Amino acid sequence: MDSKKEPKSIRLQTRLILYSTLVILLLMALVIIIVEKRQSETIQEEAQKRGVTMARHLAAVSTNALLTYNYVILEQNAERVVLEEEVLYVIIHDKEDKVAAYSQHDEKQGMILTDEVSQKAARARAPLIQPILYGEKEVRVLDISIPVYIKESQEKWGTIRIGLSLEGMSSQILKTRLNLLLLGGFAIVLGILGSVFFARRITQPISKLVGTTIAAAEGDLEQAIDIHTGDEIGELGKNFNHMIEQIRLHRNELEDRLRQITSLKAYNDNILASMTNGLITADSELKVVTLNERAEQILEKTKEEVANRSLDQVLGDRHPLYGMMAETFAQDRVIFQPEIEVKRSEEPMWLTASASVLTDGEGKKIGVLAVFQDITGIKALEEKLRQADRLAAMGTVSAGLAHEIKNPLSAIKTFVALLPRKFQNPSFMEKFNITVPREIDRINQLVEDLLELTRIREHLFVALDVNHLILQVIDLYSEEMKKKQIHFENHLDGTISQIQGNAETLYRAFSNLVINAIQAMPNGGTLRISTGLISSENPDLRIAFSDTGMGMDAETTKNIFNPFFTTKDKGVGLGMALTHKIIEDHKGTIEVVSVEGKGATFVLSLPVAKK
Amino acid sequence: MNNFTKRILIVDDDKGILDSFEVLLGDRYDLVMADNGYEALRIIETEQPHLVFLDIKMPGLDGMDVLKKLHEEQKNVEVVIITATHREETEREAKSLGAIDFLMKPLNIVDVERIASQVLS
Ligand SMILES: Nc1ncnc2c1ncn2[C@@H]1O[C@H](COP(=O)(O)OP(=O)(O)OP(=O)(O)O)[C@@H](O)[C@H]1O
Ligand SMILES: [Mg+2]
Repeated sequence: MDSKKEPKSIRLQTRLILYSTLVILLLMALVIIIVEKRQSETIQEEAQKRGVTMARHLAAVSTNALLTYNYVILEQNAERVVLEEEVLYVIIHDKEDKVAAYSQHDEKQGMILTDEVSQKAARARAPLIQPILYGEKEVRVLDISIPVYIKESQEKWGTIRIGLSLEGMSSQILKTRLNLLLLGGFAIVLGILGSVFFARRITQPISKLVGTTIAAAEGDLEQAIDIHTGDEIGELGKNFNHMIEQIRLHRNELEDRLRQITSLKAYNDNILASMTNGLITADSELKVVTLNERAEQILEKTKEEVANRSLDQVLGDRHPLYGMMAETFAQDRVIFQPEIEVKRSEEPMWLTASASVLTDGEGKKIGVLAVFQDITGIKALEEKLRQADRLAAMGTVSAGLAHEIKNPLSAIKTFVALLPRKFQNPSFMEKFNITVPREIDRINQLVEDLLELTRIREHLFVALDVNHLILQVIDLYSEEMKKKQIHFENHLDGTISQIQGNAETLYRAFSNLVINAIQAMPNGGTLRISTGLISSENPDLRIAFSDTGMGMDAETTKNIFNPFFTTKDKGVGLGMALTHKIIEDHKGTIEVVSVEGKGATFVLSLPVAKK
Repeated sequence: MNNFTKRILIVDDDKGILDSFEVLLGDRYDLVMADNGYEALRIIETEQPHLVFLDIKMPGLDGMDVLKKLHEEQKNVEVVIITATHREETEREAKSLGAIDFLMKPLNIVDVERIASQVLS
């Protein structure tokens, strides 16, 4: 990781150092060149100025001697001046350009010098400076010549020449150059060191930044950059930290989401797998999307073989589940089927199934879902229970029947058997005449009732007034009710009493209800009968018989409509069975609700007459 | 043949049965009637009949309950069951509880008279 990030920053650092070094070098070179030139010029000027001054001075002191051709004086002057520093030679020319004095060269006195420099100097009418190379060693020399004029005259009386060595100056210049170079070198080294230092300072945070970005790029977001340079790089670091923090937050959020989604998915899968219900879903093209384990077992298909295949292919277009799901999707409504039979390789299976439309978050239909449960076992159990119930009910019926027939039969048989023996006994005959017809009537009534219970009604229904019928019944029992202190509360609605029905049987049904109510209130109470519409949507007639009697327990409410079920000493148990049958014949319903000890309410519904 | 000292209890919730016993045996024996089990037990206690004709199917305390009670208390009384429905196991149980006979309705007067005279002779 480190080896990766270094090159970049080093390159930057080197580049920075290189650039700054180059700039320093150039700058120093320029400075050195300029300073050196200036310095040399100054030194040269100085030397020249000195030479000229000396020459002028010599000219001033030698003018008289020149005028008078006093060579001795001139020679003395020359010898004196040549002693001056840097002065190599002193030559004094007379009016005719001959050598009047030549320092350390007496032999040249009186000669005319023919070299070009001397010629130019002797002829010059103004001060002349000629750089020359002097002697065998070719020393660099400035030949300074000053013409000597007499005051207020243009006539030249001679020439003073001084050969000023430039060697001293050169060495001084050299020294200066050396100093400059030294200084420059020092400055360069310092500059380079400085640039290295600054480059480091600049690049170090950058390389840190780079390292962090690389780490971040590789996924390590749990880090912050620690740069406090207080400049743009610090700002960059801060921004980068902020950015990383943002990325980290985003990533954490994403990871959280992902975790949630995965756990949700696992959760869903778990739910689906552990569901005891079968579940199948299909998309909007009715292609299977999910099938849970239970559904696999029930439908005898595997997920793999049904995935993405259309429902009708998978289930067959006759399959009730397919029908349900297709209908649900097409009509956009929930369908519930308490019992459907599906064919299977072995025995057929009974299912309870419901199907509903799947929608997305915006309520758009995206598919259909069916949930189903195997109720084969429950159905078998139910069948058994029904059988048991039937048998039990049949037991009640046959026992009741036996009781109700054999008792009167037994009485009749005894009376008849005694007849030959006792027909002359008036008290016997009296009892005979009361008992035998009564017992025969009992049997007859029983047979009638049983016939009524099983008869398929063929009576023509006629329009009749229910209120009227009820009031007739109440009228019949009013004496008894008064005696037992039973109060009648009339809540009959006069506006809706017309129905189609059979007056005779309905009268019996209402009588049975009233008799039972009276029997349930041996110590008095209230019988309240009310009529009205079932509801605004259902215009059928609702009739309620409510008493404040002893009420009944759950066992009784369950069996109340079974023939021969009775809890009474002298009861036959056909009253409510008959009433039920009669109301059924009228396409109505009857239900009972009761609180033991508080009373009972029978609620009847009867279709009203259609006009 | 005056047996008025012999007392017979008839227990049945059906008036027709009670009436027919009345005309059949009423002129020879001292008859007492009860239309339920509690009444029957009370009469057995107080009037000490020699013979009881006992119906099984009665509301409240039925015939078998009465028989059990008598058996438990080892009452010195002969019991004949009279019933409308015949069930083998009910008959067996009744016999094991000491019932001396088991008569089916509709009753045969010959059987009733025979049992009465046999028990009460
Ligand atoms: N209003 C009521 N209050 C309490 N219990 C009632 C009421 N109506 C009916 N029952 C119960 O329902 C049973 C069946 O009633 P049903 O009318 O069928 O028979 P029953 O009254 O016993 O005999 P019967 O055949 O003489 O009418 C009654 O024995 C009684 O226990
Ligand atoms: Mg009734």
